[in-house]
Amino acid sequence: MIVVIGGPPGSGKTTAAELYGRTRGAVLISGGKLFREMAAEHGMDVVAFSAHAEKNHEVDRQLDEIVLAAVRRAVLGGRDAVVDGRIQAHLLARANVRAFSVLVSAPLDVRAKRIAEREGKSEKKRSARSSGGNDRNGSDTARYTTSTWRT
Amino acid sequence: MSVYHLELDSTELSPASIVKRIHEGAKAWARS
Repeated sequence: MIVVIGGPPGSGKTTAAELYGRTRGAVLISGGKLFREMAAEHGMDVVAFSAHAEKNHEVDRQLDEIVLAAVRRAVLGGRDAVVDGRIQAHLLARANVRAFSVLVSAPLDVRAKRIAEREGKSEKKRSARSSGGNDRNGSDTARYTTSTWRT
Repeated sequence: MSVYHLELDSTELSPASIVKRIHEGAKAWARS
């Protein structure tokens, strides 16, 4: 069984995916974690790497390939897997991977608070982080609507 | 058409409840 959990930043998708993986014995494949690892390999933080990915579609193609390879390894190994990522449900659907797809959402103000708490930011900086979340959403939108595999 | 089989609001459910709903939904979907 492949379960894919999507949703915007701060929606709780990663928390749900991690708990699902632990309690159901499923392999966790985190698109966000893989993206952060790619950013670190390039010596960038996530915001800078997202901007880089907007102009370099190869980044998203590589990420997609890594996620799909991990899913196929789990399937070939007879393992259940839970995929955590903002758009991975669309990726798996396009790749004809049979998966149960879940969207986890929450209002923007709630998500901004969670992100601020998660990243240890002060109340004073929260609105700036909220804007940052929107910037990341905007960056994601630019990436996801121009990446060639999605056309 | 939405690609999602199940949509949940995390402000209305605990993480454990979300996982339970996902598991139940996935089981039903797998049988269908």
